[in-house]
Amino acid sequence: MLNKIIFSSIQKVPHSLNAMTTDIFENPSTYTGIIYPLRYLLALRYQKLKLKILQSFRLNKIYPIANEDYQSLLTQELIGGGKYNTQSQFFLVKIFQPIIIYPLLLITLALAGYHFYNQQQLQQIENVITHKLPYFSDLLHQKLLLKYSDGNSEAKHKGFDLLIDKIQQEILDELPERYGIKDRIAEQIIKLKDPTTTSKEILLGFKSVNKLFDEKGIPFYLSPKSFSVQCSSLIESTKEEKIIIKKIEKRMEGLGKKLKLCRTTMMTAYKVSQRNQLYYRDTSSDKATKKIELPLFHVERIDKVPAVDGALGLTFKDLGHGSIILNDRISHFEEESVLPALTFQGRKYIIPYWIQGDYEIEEAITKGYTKDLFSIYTEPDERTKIKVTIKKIIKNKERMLNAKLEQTLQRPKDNTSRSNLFGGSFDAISTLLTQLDKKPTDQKPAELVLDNKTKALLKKLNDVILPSIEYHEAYHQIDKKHWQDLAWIKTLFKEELTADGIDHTLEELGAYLSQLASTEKGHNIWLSKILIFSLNPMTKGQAEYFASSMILNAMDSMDQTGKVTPHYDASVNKKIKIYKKLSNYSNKEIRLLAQMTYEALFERSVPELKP
Amino acid sequence: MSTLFSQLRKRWDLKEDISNKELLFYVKIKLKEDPDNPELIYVLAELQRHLGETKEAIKSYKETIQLTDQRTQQRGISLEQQLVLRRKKVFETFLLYTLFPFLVILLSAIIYWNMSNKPEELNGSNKEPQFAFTNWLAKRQLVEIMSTLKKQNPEISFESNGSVTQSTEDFLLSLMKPNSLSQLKREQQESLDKGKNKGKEAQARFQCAHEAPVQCTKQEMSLASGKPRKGVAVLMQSYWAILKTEKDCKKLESSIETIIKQLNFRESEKEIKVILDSLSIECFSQAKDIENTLKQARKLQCTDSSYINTIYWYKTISYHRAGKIKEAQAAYRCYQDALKHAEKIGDITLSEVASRHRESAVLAWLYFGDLPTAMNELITARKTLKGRKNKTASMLRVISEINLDLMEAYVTDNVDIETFKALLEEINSSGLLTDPYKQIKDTLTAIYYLQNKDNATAIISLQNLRSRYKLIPEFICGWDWSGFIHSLETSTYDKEMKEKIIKLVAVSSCEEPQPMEQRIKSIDQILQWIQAH
Repeated sequence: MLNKIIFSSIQKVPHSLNAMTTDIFENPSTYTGIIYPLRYLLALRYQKLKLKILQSFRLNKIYPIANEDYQSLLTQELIGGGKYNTQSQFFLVKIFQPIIIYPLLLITLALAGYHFYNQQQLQQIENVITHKLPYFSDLLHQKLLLKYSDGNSEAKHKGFDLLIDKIQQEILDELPERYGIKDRIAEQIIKLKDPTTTSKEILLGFKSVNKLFDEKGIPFYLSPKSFSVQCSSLIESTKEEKIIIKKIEKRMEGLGKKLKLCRTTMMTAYKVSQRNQLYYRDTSSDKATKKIELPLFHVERIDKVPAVDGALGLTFKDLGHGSIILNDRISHFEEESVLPALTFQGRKYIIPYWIQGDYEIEEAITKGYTKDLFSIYTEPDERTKIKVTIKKIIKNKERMLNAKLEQTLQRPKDNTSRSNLFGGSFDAISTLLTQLDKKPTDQKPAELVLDNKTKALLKKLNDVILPSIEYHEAYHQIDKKHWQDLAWIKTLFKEELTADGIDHTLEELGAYLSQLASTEKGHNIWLSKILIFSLNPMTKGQAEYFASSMILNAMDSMDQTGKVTPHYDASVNKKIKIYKKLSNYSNKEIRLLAQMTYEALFERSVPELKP
Repeated sequence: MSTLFSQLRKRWDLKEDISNKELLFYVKIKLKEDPDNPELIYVLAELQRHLGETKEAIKSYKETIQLTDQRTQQRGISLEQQLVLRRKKVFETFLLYTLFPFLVILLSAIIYWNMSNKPEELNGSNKEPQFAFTNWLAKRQLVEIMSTLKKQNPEISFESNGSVTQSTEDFLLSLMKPNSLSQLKREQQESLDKGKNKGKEAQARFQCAHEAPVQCTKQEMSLASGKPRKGVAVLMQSYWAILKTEKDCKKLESSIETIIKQLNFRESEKEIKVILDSLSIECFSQAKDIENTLKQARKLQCTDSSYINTIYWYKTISYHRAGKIKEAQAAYRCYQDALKHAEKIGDITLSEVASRHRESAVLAWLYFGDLPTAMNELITARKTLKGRKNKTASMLRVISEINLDLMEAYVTDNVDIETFKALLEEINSSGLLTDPYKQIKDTLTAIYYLQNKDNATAIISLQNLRSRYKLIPEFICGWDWSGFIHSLETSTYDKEMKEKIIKLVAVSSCEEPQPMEQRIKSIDQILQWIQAH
């Protein structure tokens, strides 16, 4: 290409060629009409060719060199023996003209600059939500602790206020003005600082931020973990002092006085790797209803807050935007709580701690998981490879014990009423216990690096599990306010659950049953999860316990009699027996049974959620 | 030519009349000053030709041509060098004004990008940021876990509950150990019992938390007081030999009952009574008479707790045979707890501890298919004895048996090669295995390498096995392969591999009635199959 441009330049002034001394073609400025950096390359190229030709003359013992001879050899070098296409020559020279290249370059630079600017802004947002926002919320919590532990120290309070204001200013300085992001987050920061703001208001505030992010294609999701607790729990006190406080509180409660509640919040942040959606149309009513989009954000945690999400997906219904599917938690669940069932050494990790009748449950769930896993990994080679990988994973005992604890404390989803400290699906205890492991870093097992083939194998399980989680979370998003009240609810729960608890129970009941009825594979994995929720001592008395126990009883009753009488009373043995029976059914049978059970319980058809 | 000479005379300011000979002389002098001057040599050649010095002239002509060529070459090189210098200059200008600024911009952009992407340090510079919020939440969650556990297990006292200290966290960690709750329950029950009965007897007596206390009559529990009688011991020694040969368990039982009634055993002779009772239980168990085995176990349990592991051994097997899996599991747990209790109060030797753990592994594996527990028990058994400095012969024998059991567990679980090799090395170097046990070892080794597709090593093990059968045509009958065969049913090996492993097990199994030739033939067939793959 360079040769052709040089040739075309020489054609214009062929007499300027001079073999014996410097000629104009050695000078970059000769090539006017060609972009600046290319001129140098042309001059260098010409000099290179000239040198080659001079060498050939010297070898032929010709000196001095006649310009005509030089020109003839140069032409040969430039265009070879072939014919020269003047059209292409014209085109090439035209293309490298500044009038074309420089505007193109400017456009490219502008586009790159715009991209860079966008990236820069995303980077700034990420920095704020990953580091500064959690730090800011932690400072607010520290201030709260200070207030209840050292109420009189004005100087300390002032110092804290100054630090909080400084971080607030840093957050606002870093956030971009574009799309009103800064203003929207600034509003929420003010709400976070205000102790009178309720958890609900906080959630609604960040719902608007997430909605904005989604509309503008900004791949982040913010989730405030808000807790309303008795303010006395913020007091740093000795065991004896705590007993006295408890006694006073009990007496106050007895006198009918309401105990003061304090709201404290921790901000967690996620990066959205994929945005999916399912669509729902309510076909139960006569009126034609609009198709409703149910957004599903596949996310990874990016903040550094030492606590894990105690769920595989989170939906906040009216108080949140769409649902988040927690990819990292799901992978951990698969690797640490499902796949170990394939090995003898690993199966002790698949069930939670402190479960009654653990040996038999372990055995039953192992069989259930294995059935599903064998249907996913049909080739013996695949099974061997996955077993080898799991054996490597379970060698890291700390990781597996921690995973077992995480499973013990797992909740299916968040509920707006946080009846206890695990209700927020935020598990700080597992991380704290991991930190107690004082082993030096070099003595801890190295993080296992998986090759691409193994990753592909693990993805096969992921592909089976994800549709169920997506369906489950999307189900929670469906607006059920207009759904008819069910008669059995009034008599079933009596005083064991609050209105919120009942709502939560119904949500889980419906989500699991409709998920079982609507998805193709992995039913035993979900039946196992339901069994675990119904037996886990940590969920006893909670909505998860009632929902899971009801599912087992109802499916069994539907299977035996074709009718359902909603109840949650069943012994451990009975639950295991039902589970064992159900796990022997085919996926098709389970789907049908779950569908019939759902319809009998909710007196409506299973919601159809389509992509 | 004379024109050339006259021109030269003029150029060199020589007289017009000097002869060519004198001119030649002058040229030669000039050449001394400038010997490589081709022009002078050419003049020299011309003069020589004019003066008839033809040979010298030819030589000078040749020299002229040669020098002229050299000059042409030098000029050419000089021309090229000038061009190279000019090219270098252009290149430098290109670097300085075009490439270098471009690279500087690019580098600055990269540095800026990296700087802006560098994660900002949080509160503090350490890698694991500390959050007051999560510390607070974790402590509250810790208390909540404790409260929930307390609610679920009202009979247990959680002393650390309510205290938000490091010890509470440690307490939770301790609760995360296997069977921790039942162990805690048991320990608390034991300490309660200790408080109630301070006597030594009460401390030693074991009560299992997994089963209801055994109801014993006063007669069963209390024996007459008094010193041991010499005659009784001698009488029992001779009677023992007769009883041992009795195959009818009912007869045996009634004989023992008669003796016990007649002799009215004293507390100090309890040991003899227990030995008699254990004869009955062994007989009923071998006859698979579940009801009577359990009856005898209860009786024995009332008489003395020192045989408690034997009692739970028979109970586990009997319940399992009767299909009462839950009761069998409870009995097995009692077996484990009884062993711990015995270790704790220290009335058991190290060899016995190791043997009991090995038996526990057998129960876990053969009756519950629980490989992890079986492996743990075997490892515990091994550790118990391996730590000892002065090992007795019986200890070494127990170690060798445990190692072989462990090897079966390793093969079943198909552990990693390093772990397997380490054990194999230990077994090979110990020199403790008898020949029949070596056959088991070689069979297991061959299976392990077959499973892992290391055909070359599998062939070596099979050849060893083959030569053992040829040299010593006998095999051990005490090795139970049922657990291993059962585990194969759920393994992921292909059908052909499973068949070959089963065939190999049959070769080493006493229960398979095969002539020795058939066994060797089977090994040969497997060898051929491996070589074909």
